[in-house]
Amino acid sequence: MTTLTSHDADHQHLPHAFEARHIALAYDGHEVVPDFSLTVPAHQVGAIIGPNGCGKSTVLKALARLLKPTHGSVILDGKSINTLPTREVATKVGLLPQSPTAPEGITIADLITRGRYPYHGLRGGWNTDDEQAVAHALNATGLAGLADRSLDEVSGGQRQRAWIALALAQETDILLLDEPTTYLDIAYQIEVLDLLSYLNASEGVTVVMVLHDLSLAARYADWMVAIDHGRIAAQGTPGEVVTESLLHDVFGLNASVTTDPGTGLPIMVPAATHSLKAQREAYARKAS
Amino acid sequence: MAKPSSPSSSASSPVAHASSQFPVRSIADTTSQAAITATVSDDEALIAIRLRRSRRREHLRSAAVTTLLLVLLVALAYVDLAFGHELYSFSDIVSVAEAKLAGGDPVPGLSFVIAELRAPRVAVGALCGLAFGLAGATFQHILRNIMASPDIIGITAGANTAAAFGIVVLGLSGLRLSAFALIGGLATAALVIALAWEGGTPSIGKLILMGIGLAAALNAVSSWILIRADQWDMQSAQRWLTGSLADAAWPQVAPIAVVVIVAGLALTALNPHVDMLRFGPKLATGLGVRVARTQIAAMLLAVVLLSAATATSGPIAFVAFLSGPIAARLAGPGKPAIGRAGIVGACLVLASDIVAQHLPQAHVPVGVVTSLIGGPILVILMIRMARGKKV
Repeated sequence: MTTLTSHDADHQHLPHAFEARHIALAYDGHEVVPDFSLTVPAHQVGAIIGPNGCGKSTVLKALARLLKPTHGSVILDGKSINTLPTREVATKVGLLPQSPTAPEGITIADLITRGRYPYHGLRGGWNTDDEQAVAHALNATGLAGLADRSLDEVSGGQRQRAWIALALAQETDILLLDEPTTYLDIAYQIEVLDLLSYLNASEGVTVVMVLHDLSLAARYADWMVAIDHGRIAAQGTPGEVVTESLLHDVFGLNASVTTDPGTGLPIMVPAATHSLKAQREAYARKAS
Repeated sequence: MAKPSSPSSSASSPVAHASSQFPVRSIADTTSQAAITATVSDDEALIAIRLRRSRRREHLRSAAVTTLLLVLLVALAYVDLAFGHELYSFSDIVSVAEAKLAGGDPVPGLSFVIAELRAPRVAVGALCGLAFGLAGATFQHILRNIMASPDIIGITAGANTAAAFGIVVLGLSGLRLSAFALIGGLATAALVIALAWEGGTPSIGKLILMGIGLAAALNAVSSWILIRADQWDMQSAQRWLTGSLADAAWPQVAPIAVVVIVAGLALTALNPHVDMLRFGPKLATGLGVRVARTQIAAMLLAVVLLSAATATSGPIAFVAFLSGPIAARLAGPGKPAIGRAGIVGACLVLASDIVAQHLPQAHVPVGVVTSLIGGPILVILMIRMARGKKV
């Protein structure tokens, strides 16, 4: 047996004070989010939910410094991320945008290599730190056997894991993801969320993700924030956020919330009127 | 110790690998912490070794490709010098070069043709080809689309129209002419980007369509300038229509050489950042790239290169458009290829010049040959793009 120097200790992520303080966000002068504050707890997994166009992706953009707030600021360890050197931020906060694109034919190993950009000077000198970070990212995402394969030719789940591996090679303590499960079938969605949970459990990565699916979000998050028209509609544990009244008020949906006996977490089931049978009966009543 | 994971591991395991040649930890194997720790370290050391090997292989391959391209360039330059109406031997060329460089007496019967006609033609051709190749690949990288080459989206046409106006109407030449072409190129680039502006960034699809339209309009303007010109003759007109090396002379070489060296080095320094732009502005920003600054700096350098080359040789058709994709094919999938696109551009111009001079019947300008190659390729790429494939 090898010595017991815990390998994962090399990859333990540091806690950071990361928060949005009264930020206002606008596109071309059109205000989308008037006043938003959020403290991101270290070493936890958080989900931002809300209906289409509510501003949830906009908030994530601000956290990732893709969009500069018109008021307020996003603070990382006491300093605004818009005034810190952007490469320094990139060693602490990673971002996986929605549906990212890569050059045609790029290999998975080559893609992951790009995660080392923030650590390099003008001419990137490749060193053993970089090599180890990429090897770890490949190993942690289970992609070692596919390292030389082209990103275009692997499955949707594998492709998304490769993008997460890129963020992992970046070795940031905080990882922001914009709808990491979009366009994936249900098994791949679970695969991606399992991987993120595993990274959080084994290395302490702080995760903040925008998710569409409420039941999945409740399953995989320590905390949730529901956004409606740019404002926080609810905030807390999944049990506190995923409620019948929130579904009605924010999503305009009549649904019942029950507890999944397996996890003890809330699952959402649309009301019986939202079904083929109920709609047929309603039509038959109207016609007669 | 290291357990090979089952190939059929289901999606319920976060680490589901299709065909791992390496024993990789599976989350299900939580036998004991010590076993896991040892397995992970061993695996990662093995993966790191394999990564280092494939990195070394790639470096060798890329050095070999660059070397071969440079050898090809030298060979083409030699052929372009030696093969004309008459064939000159290597020793003829060396003796002429000695006479020219040492300031000795010209070699009778050789010096004029080789040193004063052919050598500047080869030098101008190679330098302009480099400039077109670098500029084209830079645009294609930044805008992430092969069709976004400056000769397709009207920027070359803008520089060319300004150059034609500068010569015919204002009587400019040399650096002043290059500067005037640069203003035309920059103004066109700014106009195309402004026309394609959509919600905070230029839309690439719109940019290509607007650019094609603008290029057509600008080409009409430059044709009109040429037709109105008093000193209208076929030779100079052709230079501004498709690009030609027929007027190349030594005084043109120094300015274009300075531009190519300075802008080329600056682009090389920017290359690691430009490379990141191929992954899209969001991901690049997340990784700490100053996206807007990098885009603007690289595009400015590309327009400088393009304008200087256009003012020197005219818009040698399709060289900017073709060099990037050819270099990308040679460099291997997904690899950055701006520098190599420059060498490919130089090779394309010299090879086309050799063909142009040896076509039976008449000498044609080099741009006619590059058009004959580039036109069909453009059509093929258009068809592929219309079918929704990545180009």
